[in-house]
Amino acid sequence: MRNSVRARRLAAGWSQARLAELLGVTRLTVISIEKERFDPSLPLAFRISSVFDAPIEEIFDPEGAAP
Amino acid sequence: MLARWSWAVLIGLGITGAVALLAWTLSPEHPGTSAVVFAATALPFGVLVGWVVAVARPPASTTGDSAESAWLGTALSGAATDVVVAAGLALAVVSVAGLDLPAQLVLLGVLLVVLASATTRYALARARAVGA
Repeated sequence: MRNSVRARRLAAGWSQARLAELLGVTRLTVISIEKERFDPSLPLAFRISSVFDAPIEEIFDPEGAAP
Repeated sequence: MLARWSWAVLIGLGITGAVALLAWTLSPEHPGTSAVVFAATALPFGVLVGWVVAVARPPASTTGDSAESAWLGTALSGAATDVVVAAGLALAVVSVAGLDLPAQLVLLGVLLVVLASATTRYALARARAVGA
């Protein structure tokens, strides 16, 4: 699933480690999400939405997702 | 955190007590001494189990959130398939060749296949997700 996590993180001036700390996950998880190789669970997507103060549908785009 | 550590100690003492009771019940000679020895031996393992169950567990809200848990799930399910395939092939070879293998060797083989398969699959999943 496409997402704008990397762009939003860079805009906020956070490192991957900082974002991982804010989300309560590992840095590898953040890397995997940014590379769009791992779709986060719904609770984690809500935490991402909360951290970036943006709706989930603005951060994640189902275009390109498996049917 | 104090509540979790209390639970860990309680679980440890419970396991130790159960082992001591079992030793006291089943020991044909010197049941009291057996119970004390078994209890002393079981205490560190009981506390360790208590720590794993009560203290070291991840918070419920983050369980399954990490990419690592997804990679591990994929690796273990793939390893299960590999074990079935390897066991089928090994059974065919053993049957055709008429070999009589000791159970210890067979179980060791299964264990090695699971470890090798799961480790390789986990490393591949991690490399695919993190790599360029």
